[in-house]
Amino acid sequence: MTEARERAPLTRPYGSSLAAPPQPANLADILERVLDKGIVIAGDIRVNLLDIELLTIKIRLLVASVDKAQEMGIDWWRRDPMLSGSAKDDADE
Amino acid sequence: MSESGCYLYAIAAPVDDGVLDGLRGVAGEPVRAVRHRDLVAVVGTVDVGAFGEEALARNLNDLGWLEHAARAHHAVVDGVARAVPAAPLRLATICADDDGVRERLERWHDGFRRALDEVTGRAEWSVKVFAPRLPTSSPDPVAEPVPAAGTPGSGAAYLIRRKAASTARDDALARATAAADEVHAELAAHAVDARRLTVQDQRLTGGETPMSLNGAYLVPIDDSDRFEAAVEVLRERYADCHIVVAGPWPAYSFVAMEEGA
Repeated sequence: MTEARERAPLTRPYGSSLAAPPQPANLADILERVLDKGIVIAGDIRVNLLDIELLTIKIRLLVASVDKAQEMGIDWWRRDPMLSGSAKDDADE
Repeated sequence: MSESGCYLYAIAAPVDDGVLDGLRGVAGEPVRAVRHRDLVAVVGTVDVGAFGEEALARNLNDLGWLEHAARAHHAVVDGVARAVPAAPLRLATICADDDGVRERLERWHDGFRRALDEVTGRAEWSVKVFAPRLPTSSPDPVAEPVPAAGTPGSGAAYLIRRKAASTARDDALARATAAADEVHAELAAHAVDARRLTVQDQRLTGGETPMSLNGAYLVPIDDSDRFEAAVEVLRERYADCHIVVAGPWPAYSFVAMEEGA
């Protein structure tokens, strides 16, 4: 934290600049990054990227219908989601 | 039993087993490094029953499953990025086996190398600007005497209040839009690279007011304190806007790589 600021080696990881890890990131930020950002290469098991794009649209659609989502017991866009991790198999509009 | 696949989390500089030992992946599996030349891919072995094509198409549309996978994927990427330079891969990149992983490390070596060089010694910060909160509608009695109901002018006064409220909303949004541009320009000057991501829907953020800036900034680790200080200055300058900073993140927004590169 208050150590002398010396030139760090280039490979210094970002973790070492922190006294403590930050609070867990919120889900919207995580989804945005893991679905839309990061390196994209084709694996052997192909997830049609279109599916993922459709999915993000679907998330937006779902979110656009808050009442319906709540009816389904899905409230994961709240700041502090309390999901059990196995939602009902019903995200289809 | 059923087949397995190799799930990729990140491309990174060689990383100690000690770092990986503490991490668990999307299927709760331990993660390991597949090395090729000067790079490693951080991977986990997953069951094709849950991560095969059909299963994935189904699972990715199950929001509970998606949340769990996204958080687990991020936790591994983050754990690696805190230890060594790392370039995150998008969710659900899966190869048949380690040879498939090595083949890709070979084929896209130069692109990976460039992405890694770009983020080495740097981390991503997220800064968001939200519109000012509207004054709670208790009209100032001095500015706006409220006529007794039924007296002439009460309807007009209502309309005036309505108009004032809508004007206040427009003003707040205009203010937030201007603040977004200025905050982004200011922070971009403190960063190696900067991007404006799509603003998130208010229902998704749970915020009280709309978001006007969803900024991502690639900042040298040694400049973290300076960057955060710059955010503080902006917070004071735009005291009515709500400014939220989060970081450091793995450099998700700065590792874009063309497959053919």
